[in-house]
Amino acid sequence: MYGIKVSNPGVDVGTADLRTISMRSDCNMFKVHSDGTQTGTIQAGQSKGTVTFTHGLGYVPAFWAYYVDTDGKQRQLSNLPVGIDYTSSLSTYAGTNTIICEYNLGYNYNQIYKDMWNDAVDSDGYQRLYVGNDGIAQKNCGVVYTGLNNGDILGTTFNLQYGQTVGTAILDFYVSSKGTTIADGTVRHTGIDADQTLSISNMGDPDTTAGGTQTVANIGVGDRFGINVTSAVQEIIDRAGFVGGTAGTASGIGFHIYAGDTPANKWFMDSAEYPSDTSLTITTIGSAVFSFRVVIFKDKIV
Amino acid sequence: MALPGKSGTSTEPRDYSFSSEYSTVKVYSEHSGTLGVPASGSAYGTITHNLGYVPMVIPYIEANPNQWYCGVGYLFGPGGATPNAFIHNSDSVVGTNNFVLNIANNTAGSLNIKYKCYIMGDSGT
Repeated sequence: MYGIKVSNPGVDVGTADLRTISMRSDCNMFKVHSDGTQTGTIQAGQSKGTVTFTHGLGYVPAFWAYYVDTDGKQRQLSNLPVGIDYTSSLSTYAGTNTIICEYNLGYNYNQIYKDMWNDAVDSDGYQRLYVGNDGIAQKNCGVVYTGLNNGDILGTTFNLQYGQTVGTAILDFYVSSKGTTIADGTVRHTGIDADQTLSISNMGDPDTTAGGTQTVANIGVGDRFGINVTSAVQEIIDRAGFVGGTAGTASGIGFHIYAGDTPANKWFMDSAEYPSDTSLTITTIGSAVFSFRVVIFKDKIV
Repeated sequence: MALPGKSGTSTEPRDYSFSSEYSTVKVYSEHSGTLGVPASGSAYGTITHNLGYVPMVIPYIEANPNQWYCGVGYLFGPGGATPNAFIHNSDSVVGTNNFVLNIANNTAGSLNIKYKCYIMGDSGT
């Protein structure tokens, strides 16, 4: 037999116990191809981000991957997504030219999502969203969302804060029933100009300066049309008295939706009985940063 | 053997690609294969090493097509997409003479999962 064998200090090189051999030329040893760290980002409104380590080996190499925590500690990744907490996870896998590491928050970063409104009223005094022209009169309505800093937030650390910069805010109107006219109409919206709007009993609340008017095309029952309420939300949370950011407080935001240039029998309704499905999504600006370290070996898996 | 640019008299272990002063992790054997795994079930495979002690083992599987994952895991449901299959940590056991591999199938259809295992010559205990 030919080759090189080096035993550990104090061990007879003739030993058959591989554990006490420092090196044996008939035993492969992992050879490092690269060892690097990359940083990625998760943008506001997104739930995950990836970083890609390109190795270019043309085959799937053996590798070890680590998540570099904010305190500098490194967690080795395994076969399954590794939970950081009960919602977020880390995962990694190798291909013939790349190794991809993913950080999945399990919720959308810097985003609040409320799938149902908390209170609503139309200009006839009913608790529902009803806007448009019923052939007799223009119908207007108001809607309120509360608990914007706790409970329904998909994240556990994001609260809507006074003075935050809003990236986008969308009131996604759900149509549970509608009028018969298919011609386009318009709706106009404002915010309710108050610090904490927890309920709404009539259309008499003051309007924000910010708002907008938009065309609503012919859409069907079960469809939605998005109302971009970004500027109205920004004006509300920029009020000096806006109470937000404390988990458990019921900070609320409300909107008025007015019928605009709307032809007869062009109306939309989201009734409380369905239940209400008109959602509010608020995304502030910013991004989360994460890092992975991957040690890639020359040694081939396949 | 010092790394390029490092002195052979250095007392820093990281400066050496190999030193007889230290034990080195060695690959004793490599094993590749495919396990047929029933839908929503698991399958066992046995890799014999006969080292007489419990060695380190580094397993990989092709959990999704052309995506190779490292290590073992236990499905407890954090956020994020779960791969089609995984090496079950509580049912995969390294013994003194073999490594029993348990691959679980997360899908509703049967799968043929490729695996690659490195049995190291070094003690895992």
